[in-house]
Amino acid sequence: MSILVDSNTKVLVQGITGSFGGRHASLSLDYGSQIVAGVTPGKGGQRFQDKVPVFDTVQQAVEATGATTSAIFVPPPFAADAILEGVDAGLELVICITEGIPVKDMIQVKNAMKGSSTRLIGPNCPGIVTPGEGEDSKGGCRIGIAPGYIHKKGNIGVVSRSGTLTYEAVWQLTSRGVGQSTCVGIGGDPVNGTSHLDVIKMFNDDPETHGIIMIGEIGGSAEEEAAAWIKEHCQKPVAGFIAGTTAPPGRRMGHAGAIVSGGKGTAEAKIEAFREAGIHVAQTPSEMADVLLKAM
Amino acid sequence: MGGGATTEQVTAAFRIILSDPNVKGILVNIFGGIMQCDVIAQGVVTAAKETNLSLPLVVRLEGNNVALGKEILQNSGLELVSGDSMADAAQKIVAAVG
Repeated sequence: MSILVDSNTKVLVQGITGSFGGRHASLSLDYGSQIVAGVTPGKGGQRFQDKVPVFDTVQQAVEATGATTSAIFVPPPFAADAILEGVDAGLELVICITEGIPVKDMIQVKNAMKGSSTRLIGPNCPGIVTPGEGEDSKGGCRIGIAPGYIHKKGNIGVVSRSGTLTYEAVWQLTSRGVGQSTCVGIGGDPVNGTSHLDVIKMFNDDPETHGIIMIGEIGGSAEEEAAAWIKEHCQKPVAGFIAGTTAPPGRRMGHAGAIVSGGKGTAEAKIEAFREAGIHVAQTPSEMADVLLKAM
Repeated sequence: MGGGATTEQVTAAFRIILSDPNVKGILVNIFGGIMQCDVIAQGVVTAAKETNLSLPLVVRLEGNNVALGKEILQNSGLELVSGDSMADAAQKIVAAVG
């Protein structure tokens, strides 16, 4: 079953005519994802790779194709607006890949989205993959930038702030013959649409997810909040890894949200919260899969 | 380096690392989502040649365009060691710098 997306999900790509959006729309099509439309203002009427119609607006694309989900590959100055355009068009799910959206823009987006039924994932995220049953896991749904071949259809849910560490966890699982239900990158920004906890609740309710790997990093308190809920409510084994144990305080480590600030958001505190909650802790990123499998 | 790096940026990264006299070896660990393995491989090859790299070099590549990336490394004529996983690559570079 998986969560959020599957092989039936109809996806439109905002920014499909740009080189980044186009490259990954093409890879998603190869993977078997249903990319049914593209949106670039001013380029309506074109066709992407002769297969996918391009529209000027999300509204037009939705009316013509029934798309329910958007992948946003739009540059930072315009990306917040692109998110809100998707929300206004009544999409179920908006996944924003863009890194570099100003925090102020994202605060405004979150405010504007209050009461909306649209779910936002990201920004600054690698997207979502629900693996399929074909060769190299094709036939599922790949939205974003993850390499498709590393996945395998199965029963482990992966949720992560780091794109690369998502791929590491996925590849470790696949290499051990263990597949994934859905892999969700929530992104590295300090203000985002979906938290670890949001996704873990979905995994907890998903009959096809039997175990969970959660990957966090320094900055903020999302991991602690998830851990507190997991302790009381989660029915499935969880393994966790926190990146940034050696990060110097006050230094932003790549991701906008990855910073130990005013003594808060340390790796030590998050790891302690994991242990407190009965989450099985991987000391290094190379052990994430083994730690979960041992617990299952 | 962050996703989206170009060949020139890889070379610049090498120069920055090599400007530190305490550096004894270089480990390049890439799992490519945004980053494409062929771009990184080309960058590593160009960087190693332009800086006349004589230190141990371990490269681990996985992800988008991995086959092409590994081919570029193999055909480069450079002395470098391939890592099969993050842990394997880490062990190899530690062994190589003694």
